[in-house]
Amino acid sequence: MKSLRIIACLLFVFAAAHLRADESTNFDKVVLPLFGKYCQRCHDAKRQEGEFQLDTLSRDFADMLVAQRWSEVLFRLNSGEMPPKDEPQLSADELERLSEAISQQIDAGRAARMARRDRVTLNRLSRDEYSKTVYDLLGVHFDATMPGALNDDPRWHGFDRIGALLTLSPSHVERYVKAADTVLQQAFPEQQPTSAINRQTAPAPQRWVIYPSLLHGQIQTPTPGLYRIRVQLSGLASFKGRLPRLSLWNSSLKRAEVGQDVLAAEDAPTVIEFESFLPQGSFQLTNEAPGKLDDGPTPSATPKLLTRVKDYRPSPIGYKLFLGDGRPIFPLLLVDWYECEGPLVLEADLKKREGFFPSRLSTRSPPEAQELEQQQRDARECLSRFMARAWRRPPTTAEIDRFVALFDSERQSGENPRSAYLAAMAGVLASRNFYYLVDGSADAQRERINDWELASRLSYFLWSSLPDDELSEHAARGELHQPEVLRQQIQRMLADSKSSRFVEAFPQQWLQLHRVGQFPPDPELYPDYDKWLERSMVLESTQFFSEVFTRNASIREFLTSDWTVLNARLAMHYGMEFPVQAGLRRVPLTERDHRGGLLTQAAVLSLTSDGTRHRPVHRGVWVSEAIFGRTPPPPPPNVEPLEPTPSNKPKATIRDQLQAHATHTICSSCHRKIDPLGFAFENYDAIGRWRTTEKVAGGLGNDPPVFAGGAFPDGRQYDGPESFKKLLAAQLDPFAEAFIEQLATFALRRVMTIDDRKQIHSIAAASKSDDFQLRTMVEQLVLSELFLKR
Amino acid sequence: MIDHQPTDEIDRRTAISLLAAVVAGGVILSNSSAQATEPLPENDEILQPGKFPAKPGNYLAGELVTTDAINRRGGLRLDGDFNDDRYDKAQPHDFAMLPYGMIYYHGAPAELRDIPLGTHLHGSFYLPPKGEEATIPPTKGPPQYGSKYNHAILLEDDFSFFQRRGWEWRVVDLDRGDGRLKVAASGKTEGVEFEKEHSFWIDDAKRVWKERELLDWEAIAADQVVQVNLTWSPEWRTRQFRVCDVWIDEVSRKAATERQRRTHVRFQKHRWLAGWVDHVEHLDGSNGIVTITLFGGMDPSLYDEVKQKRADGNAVAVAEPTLRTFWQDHDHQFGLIVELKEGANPALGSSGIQIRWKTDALLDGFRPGRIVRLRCHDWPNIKLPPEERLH
Repeated sequence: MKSLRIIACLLFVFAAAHLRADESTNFDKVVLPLFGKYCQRCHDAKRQEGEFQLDTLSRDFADMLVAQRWSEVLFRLNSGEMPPKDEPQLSADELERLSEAISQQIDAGRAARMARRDRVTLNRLSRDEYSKTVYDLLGVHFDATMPGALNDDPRWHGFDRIGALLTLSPSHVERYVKAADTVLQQAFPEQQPTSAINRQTAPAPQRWVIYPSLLHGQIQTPTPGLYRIRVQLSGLASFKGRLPRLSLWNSSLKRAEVGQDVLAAEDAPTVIEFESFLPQGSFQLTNEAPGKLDDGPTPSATPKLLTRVKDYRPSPIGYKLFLGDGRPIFPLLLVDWYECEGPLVLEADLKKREGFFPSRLSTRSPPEAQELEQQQRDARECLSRFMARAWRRPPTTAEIDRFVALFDSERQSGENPRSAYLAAMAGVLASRNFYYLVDGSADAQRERINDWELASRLSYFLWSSLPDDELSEHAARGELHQPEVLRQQIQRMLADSKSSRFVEAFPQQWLQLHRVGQFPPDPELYPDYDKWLERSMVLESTQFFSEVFTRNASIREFLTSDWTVLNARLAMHYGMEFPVQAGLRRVPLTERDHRGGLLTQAAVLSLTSDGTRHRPVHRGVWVSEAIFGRTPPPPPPNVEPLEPTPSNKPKATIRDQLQAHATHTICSSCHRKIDPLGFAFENYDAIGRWRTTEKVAGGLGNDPPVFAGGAFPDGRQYDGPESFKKLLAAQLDPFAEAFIEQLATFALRRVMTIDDRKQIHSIAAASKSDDFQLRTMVEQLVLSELFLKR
Repeated sequence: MIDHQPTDEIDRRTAISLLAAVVAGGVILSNSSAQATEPLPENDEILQPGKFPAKPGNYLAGELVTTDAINRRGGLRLDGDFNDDRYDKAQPHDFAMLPYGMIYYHGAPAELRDIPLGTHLHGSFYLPPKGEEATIPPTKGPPQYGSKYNHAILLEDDFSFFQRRGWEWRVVDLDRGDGRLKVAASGKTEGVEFEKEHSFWIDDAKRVWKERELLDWEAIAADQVVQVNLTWSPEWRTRQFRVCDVWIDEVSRKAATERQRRTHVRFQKHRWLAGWVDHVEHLDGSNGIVTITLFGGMDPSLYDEVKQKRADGNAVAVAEPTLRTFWQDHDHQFGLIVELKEGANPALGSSGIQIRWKTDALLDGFRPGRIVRLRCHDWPNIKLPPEERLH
């Protein structure tokens, strides 16, 4: 990345100086007096204990080397190494203030470095954006997450599109070249694959039984592409009300590609249809409902066909599928037939490619002179169009010449015209102008983005992809930055179906939902946990966001609400009544449901757990980051882990143990701010289930009751999750500013700095009159100066 | 410790039956007690799957003449009753062991395969349980000589039968020339006392056991306290038997019992402890808790192992009433005993041990009344020979 960035020292110096000016007051008020009291005597110019002098240590935290030295100071203080034991010690309060002041400076310095804007800024597309861009450009589905496709993107607090982190290595370049080739071969195949329908039918009157985890049938996809899978089946809920889930299992990648809950009576089968892009390979139908039915050879003894449930004659050593009264023990699928149609080539996708590939490329070698000239003209025209669309700006003549020259050179070296042209197209896609969003000018320092850059910024913010024709036209006319045009475009874009990409991607990143299931819960402790539950948890949070977005409700709903979005699986997890039916739906909540808002959703509660137990401190850190926009200082190294309760001691909750742990001065300085934000959720276990006692392994006596009361750092008291959420919602302004900061981080692809605070405050203030309605906040952000500046 | 032996009630019933039979057979050398000849009411209880018998079974004795050890079935030539026509025409009494049916040989738990053909056995029998009416086909001989009680809950050789009740034989006289061993029977059970002399046939084929040695005629002496096992003699019509084994001291008897006990323990560890399913709790997903009562008649050490090793988990395989399993080594499910209860006075056929066993995948055979076999985690998990497997 360094090699691709043009260093603008002046801007950096300006930012650093600004940083110093803004933060110096707090530093002077807190740090210097405490240093004078406890540190200066040994680390002054005279003694310089450990060859370290504090009074001359630079305060330019935007300098990486300086920041590292201050981190060392922080580490020595937090670990208790300094002051030495035989010297006067800092009180807990003093240590807390000192740590926080230094941490703030270090964080601000880091943000300044990450947000540093040179003359030209290059922000690489995340792989999710790459896939969506390729699809919108050429109508080709490219799964960038496939093994060997594109590298995983590093994240910063959940965001995977932070330019400073998305560096480029030779491995990336190699994969971009390979990806370009793959994409173009699919878009412009030598021979258009023929679509076929293959149907497999059960031997009537029998039906295939698919119980959980059983893989059935064989579906082959000869080429990557769009396929339509249709299945006629019945879906029988288990006697506990669980629904079967029909999924398409990718045998090569060992993962389900698409799936759907199914509920259809035995005598009233339904037809389920999936339309999905599938890689070349082999697929099977499966029932993704939970149930460990893959144990040794037992499945082979379980009948795979039945005519009627009432006539089912099982083997004693097969899985027990039905109760004595005929109700299924597991959610079951009874399949009559399935078929696969494809690869499908949609008119809409073909239309996207129009004008990018010359229609008169001859394969005659060598072509006649006149033909050659015509081909060159066609190639130039098509390449120009392709470059403009792919690069999201008009290419220069020199740039076009370069790729036309590539076409010529390939052809002259013996390649047929088609291959030569595809090589030139591949060059366009492998160019940094494609996989980087570029803003700024190498020859001048610009403070604002131009209209082309604005079109891309807006488009990647709301669609995770390139601008469409209308947006580009406004950019070409140079009118996009005009507020009325911009407002009209925002509304148009939000109304477009592609805005669902924002509705899915932003909450995923803001709430760090990628962490859900990162530490899979121990199946011994949480046998009820399964993959579909895990996905349902994430769906609840993203669909909840979508619902607020669609209704343009206040962001207050994120903190507390009397509704949520559930499916049958999640309702079962929450212990709530829910009709046995497929799909997600908005449901009203009452107090006894103990839910509402994002904070008490299973996804949020489980992403902070470690697979065996809940982690109140992690929950506190998450609330601090996601809701307050503040990152607490990192823990000192070598913190002793909490020990399991000894067998001869009474059982103790994690909270009790933490409170004992936090009595140490060094620990308490941070924990007293973080922990109360996590203790409010003690009523929820590691996978987000409501509880009143905490299950404790070992120890004497009964499992202890949980206590979810506490106080905010400012003294406000709460007695449980509900009052905690209400207190948060009562003071919406801080959350609104933190939320704008998260939105801006997502949109501008950089970490916000103290330079941005004023503008963030203004955006929040402008949204307040509308009670912080979500769409209004998005619109205010786009119309703000912050969005338009580089 | 649970008493896995038959109850006093059945002891009394069989003792009375035995005495009645012996008196009728006329082999008693002195006068018999008139009270022992009173006919006993028959037990026509129809057994139900999942329920142990409420009352003792019907006593029958005879010589083991056919065995289908794998299916726990066999045939007894019932003891003679002085009836010439029966002597000429009666067919063996075919029987099946109930799934909880117990067998004792040489004073220790056993299987039919442990008992040589020709061994005289005592048994307790019931009518066919519900659903098992066709298990034993009707006799081909005259029906009046067959017995409708063809499902055994108990089979014992003479050694086991007499020793377990505290009955002994004291040698009165050995007449090698006539081939007769005269003994005085002594014993005591509730309501019945006897001190009678008996005369058994004996010849060169007999085996005389002393300590751990196999000896000959010389070792038998008057006043020795012995146990004997009996076998066929040509005079079976008049209920006369020939001695096949004589144990003339306590050491030899204990050695015989211990050898059989070890054989039994090895066999059970390979085939696993049988029981039946009392109840199934279906939890969410594939999980479930199966309540199982283990059958009685096993060596106590096996039950102790179940109790001691429960924390390490147990395998359970589905079986049939014959106790045969499928491919038990991989058709089982593994799980954990979450509760173990032990009753003080178990029903006949029950060990009194009831477990709640949790597994994460229930098999179709885990249904109330069905037979299962349970393995401790460190017992051999072997594939049984093809002839033993159900398929």
